[in-house]
Amino acid sequence: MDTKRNWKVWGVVALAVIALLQVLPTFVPGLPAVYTDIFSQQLSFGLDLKGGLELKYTVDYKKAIGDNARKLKDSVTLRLVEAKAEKQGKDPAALTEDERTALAKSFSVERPRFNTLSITFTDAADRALLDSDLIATLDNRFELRNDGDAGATLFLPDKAVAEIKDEIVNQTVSVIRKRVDAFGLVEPDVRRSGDADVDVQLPGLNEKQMATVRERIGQAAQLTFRMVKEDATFFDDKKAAVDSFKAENVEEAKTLQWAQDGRGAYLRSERKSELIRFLKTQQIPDDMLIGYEEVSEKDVATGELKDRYWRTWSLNAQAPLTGENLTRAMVSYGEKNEPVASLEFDSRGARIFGDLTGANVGKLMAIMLDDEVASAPRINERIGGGRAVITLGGGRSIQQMMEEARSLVTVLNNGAYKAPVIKVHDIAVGPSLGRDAVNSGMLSIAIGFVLVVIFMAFYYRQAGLIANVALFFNLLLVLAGLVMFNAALTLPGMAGIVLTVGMALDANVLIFERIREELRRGRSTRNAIERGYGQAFWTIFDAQITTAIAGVVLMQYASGPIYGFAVTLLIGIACSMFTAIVVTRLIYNQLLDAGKLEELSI
Amino acid sequence: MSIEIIKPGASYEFVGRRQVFFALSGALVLASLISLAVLGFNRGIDFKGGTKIIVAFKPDATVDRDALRGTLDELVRKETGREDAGQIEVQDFDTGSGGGGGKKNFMLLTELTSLVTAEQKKTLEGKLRGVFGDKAIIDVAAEGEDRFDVTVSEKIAVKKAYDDVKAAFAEAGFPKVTVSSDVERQIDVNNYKSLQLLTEEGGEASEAARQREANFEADKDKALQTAKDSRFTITIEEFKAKLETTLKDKFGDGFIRVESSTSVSPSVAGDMLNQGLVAILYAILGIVLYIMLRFDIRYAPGAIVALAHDVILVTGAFSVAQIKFTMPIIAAVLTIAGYSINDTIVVFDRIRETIDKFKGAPMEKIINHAINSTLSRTLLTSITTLMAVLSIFLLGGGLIRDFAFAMCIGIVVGTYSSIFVASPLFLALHSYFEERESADAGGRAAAAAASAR
Repeated sequence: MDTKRNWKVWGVVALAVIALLQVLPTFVPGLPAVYTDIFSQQLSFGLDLKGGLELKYTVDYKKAIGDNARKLKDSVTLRLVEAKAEKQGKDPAALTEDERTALAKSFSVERPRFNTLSITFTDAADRALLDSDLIATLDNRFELRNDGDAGATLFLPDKAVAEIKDEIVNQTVSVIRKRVDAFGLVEPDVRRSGDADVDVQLPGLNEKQMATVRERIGQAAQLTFRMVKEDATFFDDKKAAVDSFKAENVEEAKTLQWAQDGRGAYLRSERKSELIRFLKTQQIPDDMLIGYEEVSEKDVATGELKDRYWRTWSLNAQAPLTGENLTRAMVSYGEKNEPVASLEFDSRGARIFGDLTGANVGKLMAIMLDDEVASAPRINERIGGGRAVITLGGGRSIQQMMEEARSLVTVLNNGAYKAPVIKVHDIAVGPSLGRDAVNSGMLSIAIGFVLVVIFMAFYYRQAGLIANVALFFNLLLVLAGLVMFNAALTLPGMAGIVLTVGMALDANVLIFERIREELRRGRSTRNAIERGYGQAFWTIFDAQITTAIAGVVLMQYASGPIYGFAVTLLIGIACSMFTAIVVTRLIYNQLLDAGKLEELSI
Repeated sequence: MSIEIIKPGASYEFVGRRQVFFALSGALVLASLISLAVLGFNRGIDFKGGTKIIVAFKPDATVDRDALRGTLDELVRKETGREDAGQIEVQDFDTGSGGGGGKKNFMLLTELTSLVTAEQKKTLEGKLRGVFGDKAIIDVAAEGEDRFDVTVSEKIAVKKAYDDVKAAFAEAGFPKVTVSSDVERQIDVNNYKSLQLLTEEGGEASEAARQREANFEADKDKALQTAKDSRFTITIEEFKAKLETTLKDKFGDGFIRVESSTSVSPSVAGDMLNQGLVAILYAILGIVLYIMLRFDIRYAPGAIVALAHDVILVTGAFSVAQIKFTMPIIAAVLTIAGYSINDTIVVFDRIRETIDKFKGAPMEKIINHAINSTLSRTLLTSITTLMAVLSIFLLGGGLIRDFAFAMCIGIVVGTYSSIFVASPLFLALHSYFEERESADAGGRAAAAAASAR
C-alpha cells in the first residue's frame, strides 16, 4: 500500500470523526461540558419543524409623521421669512440673523396635532404670502385651509396619513427582514399584521443570539448628527421639579438626580427609564431634543470602572446630517486599538458634514443613534472627506465591543426604520407544521432512504453496499456542514438534502454502469475500476457543477427560504462529490490491495 | 451475474420520432401555461395573507392541535359553503416556561379573512352615519377586511362613541365588534414603550415590568374615560364570534376565549419574489455559459428548454390540481430544476463522448446510441429517487405530501425531458448549424469560382 493513499484513508477517518463530534450534541443530550464547550453548535430546526420565538412589534408611524411636520414647520418659517423679505424689496440671501428674527416675529407657526400646522399672521395682508405654490414645493401631500383672514392651517389629509402609514409599515417589514437575514439566521417569517404591527417569527436560537437579534430589531437605527444646545437653559430651573417628582415616585425614580457642570445643567440616573419618565411630565420646547448618553467613568490610573450612569443632553431638534447620506459603515479600530464603527458619507453628506463642522469649531456635536448619544466630541477643526466614527460604550471587553461594532454595522448598512418600532410581545411558539406531520414526514423520509439502500444493495450487490456506506457518510457530512454554517434545517432544506442524496446515488450509478461496461469488454477487475472511475468523473463533475452554479447564484441574489435552500444544496453537492467519488474509490482500492477482490460483485 | 434492467447493447429508437414528442411536450406546456393564466395558483397564506387568531384554553383542557384544526376546518367550510377549507395552520403559542399565565394558547392561521357580505357592509355604513352624523367620512376597507375607518371633524368623547357604535351594530345583528381610536392606539403604544424600556433594563421578570404589564388595561381604561378623538376604527369580529361559539360548544369549560384576531399580510413579499426571479435568470445565464465553455453552443438551448419545460409542467400540475402553492413548494420546484439540469448534462456528456468515438456517423444514430447507453443509469437513478419521494408522498401528510407530489412529477418529467426534449433539440440545432456551414461553404466555393473567372 502506498503512503499517499494511507494518508488519504486517515484523512477520511479523521473527517468522519470530526463530523460525528459536530453532530453529536444535536442528537445526544446531556454531554459533559468539556465537550460542549468545544462543539457548542447544534443543528437548529426551522420554524416549521420546531417552532421558535414570536416577536410582535408595533410601528409608531405617528411619530414619524409628527417629526416630518416638525421639519415642515422649520421650512415654512424659512420660506415665509424669505417671501416677506422679497415683498419688502430685500434680497433674501443677504439677510442677517437679526433681520430674519425680526421678520419671523410677524407670524407664528404652531403644531397642534401630529399632522397639522397652524399659521397665524399679525398682519392679515401677509396672508397672501402663504399660497399653495409655496406649500407644493415643500410637501405636496399637505393641504391648505383658511382660518379667518389672518390665519391658515396646513394639514395632512387622512388619506395621505393612511398612505404614509402603509409606506412606513411596509418599509419596516422589509428592513426587519433584511436585518434578520444579515445575521445569518436562516428562514425567519416576517409579516405585517393588523393595522401597523409586524410579526417576526424566528427559529430556535440560543439565548445569546436571541439577545442580539432582539436588540437589533428593536433599534430604529436612525443615525443623526446634531449640535449640542450649549446655551440651553431648559434644565437650569428643573431642580425643584425633579425633587417633587422623586417624592411622588419613590420607587420609580430612585436614582434620578439634577446635576450641573461647566457645560450647564443636566439630569443623571442609573436607569434611562427614570429620565424618560420624568421628562414626560415636562413640556419640552419644539426646537429642542433630549438625548441620553450612557457614561462610564474610569479611574485614570487603574483603569477600573468608577461610575456608570445615564445623562441627558440638550440638543438642537434640527438634525443637519442623518443616516440617509450614509454610503456604508464598517468595523475599524480607534486610537486605542479598540473596535469602532466607521462611517462613510456620500458627496452630499460629506459636504454637509464639512460645513457643519466648519461653522461650529469649538462646539460640541452629538453623534446619535435613535435617542441615544453615542458620543459628543468637541469639534477642533473643519472635517472634510465625509468620514466619521462611532465609538462604543467603554467598560467592556474587546470581544464584546467587537461583537457590538459588527452588529451595529450590519444594522446601519441595512437602513433605518422610518419610524420607531416598539415591542408588543416576545413569546415562544410551537412548530407551524403539526408534530404529527413532522413525525410522519421524518418517518417517510427514513423509509424512503431505507428503500433506496436496500435497492442499491440488491441491484449492485457488494458495490451497492459500498455506495451505501458512502451514502451514510454523505448524510453525516451534510448534517455537520449545516451545523457549521449555522443553518436551520427546514422542510425545504430537507428537499435540498433529498436532491443531493439522489445526486450522490446518481454519481455512484454512473460509475458502476461504466465499470460494468468495462467488465463486459473483458477488462480486469483493477483496470475496469480504474477506467470506470476515470470516465465517469467528468460526467459527474459537469452535472454537479452546473447545479452548483445555480446554487451559488441563488445564494447571492435570493433571501429567506430560497437562500437556506441554496446553502443546503451547495453543502450537499460538495459532500456528495467527495463521498461518491473519493470515498468509494478508497474502499475499492483498500479491498483490491487486501486481495479480497478477485472478482467484482457489481 | 448482475441484475440488469436494460440489457447491454439495447437500441431503442428515441430521436427518430422526435416530432411526436415535440408535439406532446408542446401540448403539455401549452396546457400548463393556459391553466396558469386562467386558473392561476391556489395561493396559500405565505403568498396571500389571511387571519391569525389566538385562542386560550385552560391548562387541563383536553384539546390538541388536530382537534382544533378539525373544528376550524368544519367551521370554515360551513360558513363559506366551500368543499375545501383551504390552508389551516395550528401552532402552539406561548410555549415558554411562563406557560402564558397558566393558560394553554394556540395560534390559528386561516386564509379566511371576511364573513361579512357587501350588502351587510352597506347597512352597517348606514348605522355608522346614524352614530357619527352625515358629515363624517366613512372608509370601508377593501374586500376581505371587515373594517370601517371613520373620521369626524370635531373631536368627540371616545367612550360614548364606542358604546354608541356597539349598540348600533348589535341592533344590525353584529354583537361582536371592536372599536378603537387613534388616541387609544397612542395609549397602547406609550404603554408598550415604557414596558419595553423596563424590560430592556431589568429583563422580563423585573418587578417593575410585571407591575406595568398588570396595570396595562386599568391605565388605559382610566385614560379613555376622559379622552376625545376624531378618528375611529371599527372592526367586525364576525368570524371571531362564530369561532368562539363553536369552540364553546365543542370544548365546553376548557375553552376560555378567543384572545385576538388580526389580519396578516403575506410573508413572501413582492420584492422577494422578484428577487427570486432575477436570481433564477442569472442562474440560467450561468448554466448557459458553463455549457458553452465545457460543451459548445449547440447544447445550451436544449438544456435550458428542458429546464423551462420541467418547471412549467410542474407548476402547471399545481395549477390544474389546484394544490396549495406555499413556500416549501418553491423549494421543491428549485429542487426539480437542479435534478433536471443534472440529468440533461449526463445525457449530453455521453453524446459528446459518442461523437468523438464515431466520427462521421450520422448525428441521429450517435444520439440514439448515447441515450441507449445511458438508459440503464437514467432509469436506475429515476427509480431510486422516485422510490424515496413516493414513500414520502404516500406516508407523509398535508404539506409534506404536496411537496412530494411536486417532486414525483418533477422526477418523471425531468427524466423524460432529457431524452425527448433536450437531445432532439440538440439534434435540430446541430442540423441547422451544419446546413448553414455547408451553405456557407457552397457560397464560398461559388464566390471563389466567380473570382477565378
